[in-house]
Amino acid sequence: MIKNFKNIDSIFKSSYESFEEEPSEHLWTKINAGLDKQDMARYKKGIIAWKRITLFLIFVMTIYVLYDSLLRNPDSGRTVSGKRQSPNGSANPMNAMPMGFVGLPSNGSPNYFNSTKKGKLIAAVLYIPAESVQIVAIDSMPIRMPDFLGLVLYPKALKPDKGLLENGRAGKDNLIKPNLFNPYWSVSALASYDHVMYRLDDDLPGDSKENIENRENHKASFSFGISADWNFKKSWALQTGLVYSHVLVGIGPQKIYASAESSGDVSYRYITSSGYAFIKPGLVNSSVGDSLNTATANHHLVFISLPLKIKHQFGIRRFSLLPSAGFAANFLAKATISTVVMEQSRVESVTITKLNATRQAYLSLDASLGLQYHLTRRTTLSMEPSFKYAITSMTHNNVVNNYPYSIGIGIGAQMSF
Amino acid sequence: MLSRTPILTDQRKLIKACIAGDRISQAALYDLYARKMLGTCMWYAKNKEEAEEILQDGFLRVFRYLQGFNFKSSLENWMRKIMINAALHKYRSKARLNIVQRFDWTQEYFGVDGTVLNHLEARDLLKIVQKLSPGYRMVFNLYVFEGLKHREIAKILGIAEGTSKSNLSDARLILQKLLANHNGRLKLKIDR
Repeated sequence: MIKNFKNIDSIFKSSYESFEEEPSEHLWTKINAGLDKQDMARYKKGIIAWKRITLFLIFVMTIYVLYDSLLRNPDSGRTVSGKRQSPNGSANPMNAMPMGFVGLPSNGSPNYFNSTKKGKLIAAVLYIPAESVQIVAIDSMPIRMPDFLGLVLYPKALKPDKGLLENGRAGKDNLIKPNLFNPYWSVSALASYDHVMYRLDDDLPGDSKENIENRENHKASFSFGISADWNFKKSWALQTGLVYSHVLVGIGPQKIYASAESSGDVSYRYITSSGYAFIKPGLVNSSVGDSLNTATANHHLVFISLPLKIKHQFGIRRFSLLPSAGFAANFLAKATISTVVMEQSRVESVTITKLNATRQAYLSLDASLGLQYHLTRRTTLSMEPSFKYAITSMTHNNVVNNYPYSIGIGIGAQMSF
Repeated sequence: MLSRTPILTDQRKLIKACIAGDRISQAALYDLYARKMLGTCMWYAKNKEEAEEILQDGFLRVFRYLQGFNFKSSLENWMRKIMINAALHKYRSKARLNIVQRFDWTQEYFGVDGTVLNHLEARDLLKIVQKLSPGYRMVFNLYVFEGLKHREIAKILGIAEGTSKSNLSDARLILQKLLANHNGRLKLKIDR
């Protein structure tokens, strides 16, 4: 008879410590699905964090721009003509800052004044007798104010021409060339967060389109690149460049079936919107018609794009608005799919690096609306919402035709030469 | 165009790969410990189905918190604690512990033959523990299997320390009764 509880306890405890039980076969599949959900939740958290960072940066940038434009330097950005010209032209807001005051009294002898406001030079004015009116420029930056005959603002450090001060006439190098525009190049770097989607058309009969749409969902995608603008007119530019785009597509679990390849080998056919692949897991000896289950997959697509766009520019003080439209050739550089194949409780990871029925390139229509802020005479910051829409399919002879499109928001910087 | 990730055998590498989210390594970790962990969960559950629910939740917690594992204790013990927490969470969320109440049987004595106990297998003992109500089972398991004190059990289960003590006492009496019933059947078997 057992009266001692500790004896019972120890018997139960030893059984507890040694006991093992075989789990059901489907249990890992459930855990796997749960892990997918966790990954998705983590991914969404990441997206929210990035959105917050982006909003914060936009907020900080807005505050800086407002502070810089309205409080710190209220006179900056004022142009005489109201038109932005080339970086070497006159209307760049930074260059319109008057720096000093020069006067020639009626007796013709030169005189020089500094007019300051809060310790800064604010105006450079040259009075010239009416009979010898000269329009003068220094450093190729003429700003003419016709209402004040002979009134010239010097945008840079005041270095009155020696001949001008002595004779009341401008030197040869300082003579104005009215309305002159020199075409110039500018180079931009841009990074963009893209929300990519696609339009699928059935290429082959069947319900593949609905299945694929239900199975696939696009995740965070991004692109970055450099572009070169040929500013051939004051407000017009041609743009080209190279853009690297990374597209991530999440693919849900699916059942894949074994079929014979053209070589006679039997492989499982894994179908996606951007092509299909044959895989041969080592788990099973497959014969035609067999099936396997796959877990969720990550499908990475990398494109190198070559855009050609035309750009128009509207300038308002330090800001410019740049709508642009054009085409892009998008070259598929890489396509990979990582997934796990499951056979009962056994699993095997599979990485697909080659897709069939995928075109090497497709054409897209590109449009964007850039907002630029001129930091200095040559550098600008920009924010650029953009839209891309494929006009040719990126697949051929796949179960569906795939026309990707995307909406993006990018930030970047531009340097003019 | 196919590549396969080899199953990692080194535990530290395996853990790192699991933290990185490598699904094949996570499956390998599952394969290594699923039997043992389900063995643990069975004692905290009413039946195998419920134990598998706990195991599923437990493994999801393991993969979520694996980066917090500091290698100071064994991975198996750490995972076992996670499983027990998952079991406690399950019962708390379903408010099953509320049924813990005073055992109102008379202090009847149930005799158990020690020689017969030696013939009981772990599975038989498990079935007996599974017959306990969830509240009694939790207190008994935490006290006997995990070595917790009544103060700690009371805190974990959100009950009074006195309730924990009385539940343990009741659980033991019930177990004795169940063992006595089992004893009779088993004795017949042995005698034959």
